[in-house]
Amino acid sequence: MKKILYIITALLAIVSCNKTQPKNKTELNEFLSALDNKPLEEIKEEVNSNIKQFESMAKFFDGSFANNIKTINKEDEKYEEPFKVDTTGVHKALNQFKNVTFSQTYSDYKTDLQFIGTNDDNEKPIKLGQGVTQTFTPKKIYYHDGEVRTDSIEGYGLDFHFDEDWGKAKAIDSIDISFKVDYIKDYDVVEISSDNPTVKYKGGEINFVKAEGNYVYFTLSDTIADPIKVQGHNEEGKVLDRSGYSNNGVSPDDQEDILTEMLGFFKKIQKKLNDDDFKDTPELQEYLKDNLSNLDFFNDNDGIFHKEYYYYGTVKSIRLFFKKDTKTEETSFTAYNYQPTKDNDALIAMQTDDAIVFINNIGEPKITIPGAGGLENIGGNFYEDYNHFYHLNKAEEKLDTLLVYSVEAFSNGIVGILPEQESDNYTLVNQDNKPIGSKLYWKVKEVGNVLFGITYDNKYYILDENANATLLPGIHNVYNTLADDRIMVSNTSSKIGFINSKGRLVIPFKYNDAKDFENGITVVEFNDTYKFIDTNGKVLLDIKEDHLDFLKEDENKKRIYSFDYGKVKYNYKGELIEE
Amino acid sequence: MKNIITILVLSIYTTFVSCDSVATNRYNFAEVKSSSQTKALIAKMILENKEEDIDSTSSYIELNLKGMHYADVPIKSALITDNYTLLTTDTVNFSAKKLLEVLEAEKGLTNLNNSYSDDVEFEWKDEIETKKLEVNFVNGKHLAAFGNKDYGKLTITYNPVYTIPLAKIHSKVKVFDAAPKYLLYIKSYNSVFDISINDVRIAEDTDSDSFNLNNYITGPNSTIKLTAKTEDKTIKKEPNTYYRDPSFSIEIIDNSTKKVVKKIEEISIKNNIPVNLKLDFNSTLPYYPKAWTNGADLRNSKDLKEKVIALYTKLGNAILANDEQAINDLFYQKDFEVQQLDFDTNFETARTKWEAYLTILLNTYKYTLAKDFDIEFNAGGKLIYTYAKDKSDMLILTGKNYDDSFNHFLYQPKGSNELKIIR
Repeated sequence: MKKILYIITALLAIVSCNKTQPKNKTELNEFLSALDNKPLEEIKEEVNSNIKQFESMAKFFDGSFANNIKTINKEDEKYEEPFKVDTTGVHKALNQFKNVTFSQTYSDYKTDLQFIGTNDDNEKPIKLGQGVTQTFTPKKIYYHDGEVRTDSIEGYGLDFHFDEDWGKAKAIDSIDISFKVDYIKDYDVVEISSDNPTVKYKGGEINFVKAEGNYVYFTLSDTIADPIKVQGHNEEGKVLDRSGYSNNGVSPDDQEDILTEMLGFFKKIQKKLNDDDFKDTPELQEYLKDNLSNLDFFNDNDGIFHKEYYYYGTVKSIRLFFKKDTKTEETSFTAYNYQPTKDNDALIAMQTDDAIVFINNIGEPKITIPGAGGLENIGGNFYEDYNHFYHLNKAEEKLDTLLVYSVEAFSNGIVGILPEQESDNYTLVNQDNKPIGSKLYWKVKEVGNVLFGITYDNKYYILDENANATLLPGIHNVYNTLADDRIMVSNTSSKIGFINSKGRLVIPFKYNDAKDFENGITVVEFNDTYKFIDTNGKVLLDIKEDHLDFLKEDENKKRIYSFDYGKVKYNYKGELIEE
Repeated sequence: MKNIITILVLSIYTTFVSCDSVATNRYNFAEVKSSSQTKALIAKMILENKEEDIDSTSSYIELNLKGMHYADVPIKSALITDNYTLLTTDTVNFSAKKLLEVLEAEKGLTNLNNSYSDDVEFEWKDEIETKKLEVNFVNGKHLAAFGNKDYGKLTITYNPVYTIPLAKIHSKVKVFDAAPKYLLYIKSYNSVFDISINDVRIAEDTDSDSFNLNNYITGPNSTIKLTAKTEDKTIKKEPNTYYRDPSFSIEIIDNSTKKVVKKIEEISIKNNIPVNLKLDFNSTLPYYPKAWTNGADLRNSKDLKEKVIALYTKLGNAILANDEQAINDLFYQKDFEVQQLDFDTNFETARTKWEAYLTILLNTYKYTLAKDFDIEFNAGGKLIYTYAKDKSDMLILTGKNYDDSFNHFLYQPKGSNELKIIR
């Protein structure tokens, strides 16, 4: 539950940092709608328990903002780089999205979405330099039931750190997203100082009002667009590092301290809440709307922005950079659900305040288990919480507790259960928790989506979705990667071959050394030399060099076949790299 | 972003502390002897320092109140968590040296623990608490130049107090001047051994080299029977290759004095024919356990299998029911005798073991019994051991990603009809 303290904090952040459009009450409305559906009693409790903390905060901020003007010695000055538009990362940023995935979770009949990675190697988008902005806009949502939604989704947040609200609880398969990079091609520079205090710009005026030590105060007509960058310079024209700033609709002299005023207002609300002056939450919201918008800092009457900046040094002049011409580059990509819904009848666990509700893929509640909480899906109908494993018994609409050592779900739908101990043989069951298959496996191994059962005598079987077992003759070890429909395997003499995902030995056991396939080729060692082969084992190139280095990659993370300690290298297509 | 703002503001808020109290020695941490007394002291500090805004609900309280001290050694800051209290001395006038003096007066002299840095550490452990004093040398000096400017960090941890006898065995362990610990040492090449002591089989086909014997000694004269066999029979005499017969030598020593009680010089196993040895030795101990000495001969006992199942069922049920008293009753005699035979008076031994039992109780949600097992008779039929055939052990405990198992030597006291766990 979000505490009112958080809401107050968020509001403060809005008020103090983002006061560029005084007449626009969007932030205020957002704050007010955060209170929607919250019982009045709950709000009262939160205000009472948090106002004290808020008071201490106010006391703290009170001191920190007011006394910031000071003289900084020359030797203590800090500098930053002069402003320039940095577009170096733009091209890379436009090409960064590959296999973008997201996780979808559900609570209280709503979807929460979090994006997991921009590609297989990076969790977060590339950071871009100054003068460059990037925007993600969802364009189409493909729901699992076939619905494709395009309306009112632009505002859905795309975040690689936090869950974002993505509307109704309904399974999403994929999302088309547009990625836009705006960067400045050309800009105006306006310089003001005590020698040149007033500059006319775009029909408005920029005024240098006051500079003292590390502090400068200037104003802009509110008809002028906000500058993209403000830099302060010392006497010699060096760019000073900024230590703080505030932008306000009212002049500093008229400003009552924001926090004190806010605090006074919230204390008033606290009293009213405690006196039961409001009959319900909407009435409180109405009161907040009327009165908050009357507070000074929500209003601007003089048509001027007041800007105060603080620097690590003695500031003499200010340069403002205004956007003149911009360029936009755009790309789009599709993000996929990290755990896609497989079966149409699969139910998804959704936490509500007092129950776990299992919903179908169009968000309809099917089974409700009151009192349960904290379930995580293992796969299909199997779940776990901190203490137990569970099977969702759809026929009887209940959750059966499984008192077993472990439950492991595999991608072909089979579930492996170790009934008592880690050293047990696996009991394989289907999604109805009914035993399937006839053999005992001490190990079950999944390579890609291919499932292998290994018996105590170290025989390998390939298991289909009904746990029907097909013996893989001669196989003593199966490696860990499925690529180009090939899996590396070896026999008891440690000779390497390749099977396909059906378990057929496509390339016989004959190599002393090999790598998994990538881009349809790989390298193997046979008769004391390395050879490039294709997925059918046909030799493409016989090479003389020895000592294969398994770990080399190019800048696109493509494999480099490096021999003899890097003396000879081939790219991922098997072409010689000329140094 | 939203969360970051919240965390930022809260962290700014929590560092906001103003100090305005009167500096008298009001809060003595040396008087505190338990977690609950710590809480009482915090409550007193909160009441007397309302302006400080101490959050008593936090599980991590940092205090910089004036008047905090440890037996008159001023404490500059105290960090109190659910698990420990960390006191830091005033760095200006009062020192770690003074704190060390106070602690040594209270807890006795202690050796310092060497650390890799310039700092040194002292530790005192007892049943109620663990105190650790870390001395930080302000000028990077060393213990010899230990002075008034060096400051100390005293970490106090209160131990949980258990009343169950199984957790307090050390208080019952008798102390003797001579406390022999008999060990069997075997040096061997390509050999494995079947070993029994006093007709109790303690190992089969083992290649281990050391065996604790005290647990199987019930009187001043003991006998070890040992069969030595070739481990790897594929190693054969062949032309032009080095070959050595499997061989072994034996020592029985008293590990408390390192004296050799009995020694057998190297013996070879020729032509893979097992070698049988019988070794009598003087196994004098200041204490002999009752162990299975008053046990009934179980060789002709009817329903023995059922009795074994009944015992493990009782254990399994006690675990599922979290019945601490029943666990105590089932294991006390065994655990007591084993700790006494080790002459171990350290309070931590039984406590650690008891906490291991508690972990088992906490984690287990199912038990499984072996139904099919072989019974081995030892000590003239008075002591039995069972080998599960349908399971990996006699009693298997299962929890979420957790397993454990039990299998013990059992005996039946004369006059009783129930088996008991004894080793």
